[in-house]
Amino acid sequence: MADFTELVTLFDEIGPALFSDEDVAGLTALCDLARSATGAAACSVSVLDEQAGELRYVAAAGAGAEAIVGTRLSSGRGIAGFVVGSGQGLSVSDVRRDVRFAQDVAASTGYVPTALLAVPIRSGDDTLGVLSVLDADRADLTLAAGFATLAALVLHRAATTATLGRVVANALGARATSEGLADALRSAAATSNGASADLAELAALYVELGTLGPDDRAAATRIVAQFTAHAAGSQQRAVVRRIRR
Amino acid sequence: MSDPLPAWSDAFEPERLAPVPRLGLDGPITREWAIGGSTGAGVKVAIIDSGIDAGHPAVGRVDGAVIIEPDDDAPDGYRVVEGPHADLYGHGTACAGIIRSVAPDAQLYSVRVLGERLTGKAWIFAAGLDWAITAGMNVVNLSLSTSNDTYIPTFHELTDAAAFSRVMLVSAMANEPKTTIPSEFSSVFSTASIRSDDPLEVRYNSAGPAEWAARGIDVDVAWADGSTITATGNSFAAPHVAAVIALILGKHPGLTPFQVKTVLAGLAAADAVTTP
Repeated sequence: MADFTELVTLFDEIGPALFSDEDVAGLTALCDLARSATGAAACSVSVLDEQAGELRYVAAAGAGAEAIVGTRLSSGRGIAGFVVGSGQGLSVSDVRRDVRFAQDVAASTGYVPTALLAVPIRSGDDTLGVLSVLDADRADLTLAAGFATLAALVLHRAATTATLGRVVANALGARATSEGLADALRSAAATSNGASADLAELAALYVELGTLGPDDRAAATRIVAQFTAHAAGSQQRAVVRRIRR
Repeated sequence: MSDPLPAWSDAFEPERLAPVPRLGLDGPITREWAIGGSTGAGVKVAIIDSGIDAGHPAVGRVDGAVIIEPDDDAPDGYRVVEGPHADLYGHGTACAGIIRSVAPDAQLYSVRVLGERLTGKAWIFAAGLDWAITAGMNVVNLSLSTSNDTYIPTFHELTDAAAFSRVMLVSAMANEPKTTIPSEFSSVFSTASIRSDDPLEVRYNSAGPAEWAARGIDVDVAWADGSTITATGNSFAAPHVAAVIALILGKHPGLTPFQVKTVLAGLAAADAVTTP
């Protein structure tokens, strides 16, 4: 029997850094595009690792880019830390006049900006990371937020993969000592939070549904399909609200 | 280099603002009529934020302070701790300093709902707002919001209660486009930023959802540990609007929210005439 505890820990550790070469290439191209669109000296994407309490810089373009990638910053520090804590984008014209600025981190990259603009990379209510733009000619928070929305596509997928991996590993680990997969998934749900708990609970329900007769399965599928259509409608209305602005 | 405009702020460029109908009063609303001679005396202004450092030279005095914090043993799940407290971040002190500088005799009340990293829970924020409305505040500065739209009914109820209790809620829009509750409700004074040297300048955008704008770009503000920083954000525009409202209420006590909006729109029109 494999050591599933070790596997869960592994998912926790590598989850936030679970990016393929293509992801990094995509984020780097996005940084370059954001840098170009805003006339900035540099742009970077950092990813929040909540367990470690850190922001990890995974992609960057422009001045200091090579040095910043791989750097970790306590998620309570710096302008980026403010963005993580408050969930708010921020534009600072002169970082020397702002005590929040992490001077040492910037200095270590060889490029210390004068102006800094940072916006949260969000998925729903969660902040997944921060997109930072240094010394932009066009310091436009709305424009930067648009690039952050694109970065969120990559970060969200990576986070979901890590979460699913953790849930499955937990369930496999639990199955070694319990009766069925449904029970194992329930156990995984009980030890998880938020989305992963919901996912595990849902998976457990599907396992149970699989044991029912064809009529019951068809009825359950109709109910889920109707709910999904309803939820999609809500999202649609939210989109319409945004466009109307 | 162009101005670092927070979201919603570009609608307030003078050439983009729609004309506002005149009321045909005997004379236009002027600064002199609206706020001339007012210091905000007699007006209670609550700041729902990270706390206020009463000892900061830019603040000088805080007239009341409460912390709203979770309490599993309390009937509503939270408790209200009265008494002096620290600012855990600097953000609330920044807002307080702005209001003090514009409306020097307003009474400032700190309602702390945010923690050390400026994080907070939407329901604690709602509880703080409920406290401010119930405690008889005249103006409440909300340089915070939630993007969790399951809280729309809760804040809808609270903002209506405020509107019908003559409590002016000044609510900063987020700095980037996203759902911001209750800032985008029409009953509050939703605020974005302009670059201005005049702390009394207000602009009016009838198209919303940011209805008002005031000074909020590169503003020197009080911060933690007695320091000062230069900051940009709709968070710092809101206290400018809150302070102007305190001046209006200091001179014209008892106005309702829609009357105050009328006066503010009059001031915006007057500013538009005098601003080149």
